[in-house]
Amino acid sequence: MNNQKNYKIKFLVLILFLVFFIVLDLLVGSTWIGFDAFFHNLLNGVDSTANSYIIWQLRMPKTIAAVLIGIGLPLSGLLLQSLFRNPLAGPFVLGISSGASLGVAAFVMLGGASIFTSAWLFSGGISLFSILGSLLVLMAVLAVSLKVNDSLSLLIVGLMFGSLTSALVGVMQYFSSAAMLQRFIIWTFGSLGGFQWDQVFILSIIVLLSLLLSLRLIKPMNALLLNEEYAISLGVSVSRVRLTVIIISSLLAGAITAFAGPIVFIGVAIPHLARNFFKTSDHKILLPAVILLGAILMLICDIISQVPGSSTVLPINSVTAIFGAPIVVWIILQNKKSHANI
Amino acid sequence: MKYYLIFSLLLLLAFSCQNDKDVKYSITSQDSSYKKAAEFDYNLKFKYTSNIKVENKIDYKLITLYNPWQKGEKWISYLLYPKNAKPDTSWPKTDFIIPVPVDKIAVVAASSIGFIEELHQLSKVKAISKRKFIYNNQIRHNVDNGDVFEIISGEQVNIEHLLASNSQLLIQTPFSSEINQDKKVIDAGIPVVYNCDWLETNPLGRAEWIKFISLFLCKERMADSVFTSIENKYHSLKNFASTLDTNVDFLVGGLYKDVWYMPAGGSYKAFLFNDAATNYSWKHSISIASLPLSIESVIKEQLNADYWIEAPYKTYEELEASNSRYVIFKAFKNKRVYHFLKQARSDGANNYWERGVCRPDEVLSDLINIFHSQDYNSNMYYYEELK
Repeated sequence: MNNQKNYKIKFLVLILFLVFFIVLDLLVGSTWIGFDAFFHNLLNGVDSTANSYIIWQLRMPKTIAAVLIGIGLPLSGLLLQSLFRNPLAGPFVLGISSGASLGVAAFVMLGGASIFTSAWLFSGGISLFSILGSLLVLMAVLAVSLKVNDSLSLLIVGLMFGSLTSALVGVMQYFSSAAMLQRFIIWTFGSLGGFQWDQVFILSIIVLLSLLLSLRLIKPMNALLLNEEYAISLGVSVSRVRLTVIIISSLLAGAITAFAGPIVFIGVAIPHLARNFFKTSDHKILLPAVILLGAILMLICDIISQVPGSSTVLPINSVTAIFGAPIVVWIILQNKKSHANI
Repeated sequence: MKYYLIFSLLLLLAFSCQNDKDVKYSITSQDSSYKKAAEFDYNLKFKYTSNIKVENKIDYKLITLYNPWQKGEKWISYLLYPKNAKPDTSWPKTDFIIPVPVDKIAVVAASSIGFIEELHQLSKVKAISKRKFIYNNQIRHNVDNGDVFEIISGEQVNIEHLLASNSQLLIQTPFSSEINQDKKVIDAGIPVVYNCDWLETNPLGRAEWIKFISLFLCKERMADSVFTSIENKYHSLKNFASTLDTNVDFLVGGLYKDVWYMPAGGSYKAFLFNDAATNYSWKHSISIASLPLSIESVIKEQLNADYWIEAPYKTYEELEASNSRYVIFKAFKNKRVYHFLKQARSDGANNYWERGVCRPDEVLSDLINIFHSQDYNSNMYYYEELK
């Protein structure tokens, strides 16, 4: 009973923080708009002024994208960590994000871009090739998962696919011109500011679909926490759960990487933060927890990357890494400490 | 004892294999009598760049390049002597000793092609980076018929191709003062000449590197004459522009995701913008590179800028398709957007980066044409209005 009350209070706090950071992310940017002008534009809709454009066409899609990515990547991370019972599992572990990078690298550096001389084909081409790249790796991983009925082996295979795609990207980088290399490297920095409303719409559908599918996985994932044999004894179809998790992770990682570039650490770090904050491994609590914490942290990272008051923008990947890496280290230290105390 | 002897032998081997670091390259004389090239004694002076010093001696020239990254620090030295003369052991030790004029050169830096073309020495180019990076028609034709080698492989110089071209020197673009990246070229006996024009912030300073290149071709007098003509034309245009209204702002370049890279106030482009009599929004930034601006800042400052130059596409349709946010800018709405791909190939090679570096007067003329079209009307060289 106390636990339930405790969870309710914590969720309420997180929801309040989420609302606060959504408003702050909209308010804060490279240029100062002012409270009056901000709320005037928010309430009166779009007009032809610079402020209106900044709020409705730049900050609003960016903020929503930050929330969606903050939901999607940690959700994928939580499912993968539980499936593989590995604390470092995340969207990159199956090589799916690397597959997306391979698709973009092929497009930008191998001259795939030269085929699409028309600009709209070029800008859509990056997203298209990113999704194709992640789908290619997904197909390979799925094919292997049908043959290999063992999560640990699948994890190793996923890591190998990731290494293979990274190696191919390295070869392409070696033979590329400086301009193409620079274009690809800028993509790897990640960016939320490039989101437009149509991309937000597509991503929100994918995230919503993934959330709905994940709700059905709460009980099976709890069962899998012990081991696969125990889960099977409870009537869980482990292969079906594995397939569903792979599909959800691939969709989320593929779509997010396609639109925002590779965003690191959030997928791995947030599930751990959720477990430590709520002191539980129950997915009924962890699922909403990672969604809220992920969205909050992504908004914080976005606010920092805007370098408020400055006209420059930091790459979002640098900021998420600055946050994510210490969290992962802290978690490892906490785990060591709790083992020592036993 | 056995191991001590082996170790000593290895040490001896290591020391005996070291090259003489002072003299990187030299040749022995071919003929005891020689005739200096007519321009060898010409006294070249540099007005706009402080990174080059040339000292004319009786039978040789000393060229000192100063480190562009560490002001005032001596960086690389060249000793030039007339071809077929005998190098004298009493001459000072330098990094490179080169008999001039050279007959065959390898060129990696595209701007050097512009300089060599102005000096009418293109036939001496026997190796280039890659055909697709070079705009010049003659060079491309020579690559196609096998007279010129492509020597860049994965951003590195392919030594085998370079040697096959029989080039007597390599003109390279340095990106740091560390020249170890060219160690293999130097060890192969080919001197490396570093063209640092891209580090100059004054457009005339960039063009003045034509004089530096001319030293190796014994075309000093011609280079001086060509540069003086360019300088006079530039100043004439600048003086004319100074009489015009400077209240002109403009966007430069384009967006990548949510970052807009614009030339900073200390860059050579900002120099040109100033000489074209404009009021560039970012002229007060002191950086010499590009400013990574957020799109919010650009919208706030330049939503109503009158012009937009160096847009990344040739048509308004393509520009809008690349990023729908472009349509809100006044310059887009009023159809006052220009690209600088007028002399660009479909594979990306752009004469703006070859001849354009050597001819800042032509670039300035284009800019004045764009920003002050009611007062100045001339043929455009590199810029063109979007269709």
